[in-house]
Amino acid sequence: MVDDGKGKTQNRYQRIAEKIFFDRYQAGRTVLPFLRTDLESAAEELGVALPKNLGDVVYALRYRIEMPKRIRDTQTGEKEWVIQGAGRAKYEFRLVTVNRIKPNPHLLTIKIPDATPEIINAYAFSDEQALLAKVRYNRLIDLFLGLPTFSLQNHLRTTVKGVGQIEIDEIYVGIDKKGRQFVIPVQAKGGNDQLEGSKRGRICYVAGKNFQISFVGRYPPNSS
Amino acid sequence: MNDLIAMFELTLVDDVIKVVQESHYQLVPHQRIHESELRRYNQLT
Repeated sequence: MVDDGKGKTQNRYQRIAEKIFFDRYQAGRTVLPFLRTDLESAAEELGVALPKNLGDVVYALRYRIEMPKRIRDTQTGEKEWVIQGAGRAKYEFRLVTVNRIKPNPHLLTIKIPDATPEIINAYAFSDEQALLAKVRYNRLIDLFLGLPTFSLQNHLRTTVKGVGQIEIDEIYVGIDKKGRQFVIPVQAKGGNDQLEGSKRGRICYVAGKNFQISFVGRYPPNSS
Repeated sequence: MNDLIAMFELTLVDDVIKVVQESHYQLVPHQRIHESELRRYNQLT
């Protein structure tokens, strides 16, 4: 199959996922492990071309495209199938309870004098990039956490033990008045994103039309 | 897009994600922050 558009790639990835899923699925099972090499054998059996970067199939299904309908049809109640890393080159379909975190409509909105350089508004490539820039220029992480923080790196790809490769939108580091140091991973979602998996694949970010969302965590350094 | 930004601090409790705190910020030109709003912010602790 020639990959000449987003739709076809999506369809191809979903067919591969479906095959791997239903080769393992039995009613009642909640964890279906598979290996990166299973992606190759599934694609071969289906006669579809694989991308050079095999990990993109899993990445797309975790973050960009929907789980195929046939797989979703086996979900019940609040549970949803997600793909999680289970170590290097190992993955699993896992039926999990998904948290739906959405902005509380009753919360007071605090107005902040906008310090975003106007030129950023003109040139930001995406909602997500624009949001990360706004958060940075307006020091919203400092305001929110009450800590001085410093942006360390954007789009950090790293490997977490037992999870596999993850990508974090931006990493801040910070320090409080008692000298405690923090590593602060930040995920940003522009408006209108529908569902998005976290690094653990257990969370849905439900953004309303008017909201942009930023998630932060706070960890001591050298914790995994 | 009206620059309404919802921020969540999240943490893991027994492998489940929980919200530690949430704030909503709106980025505006300074003229759009009225004195009454500043007074209200001053009363919040």
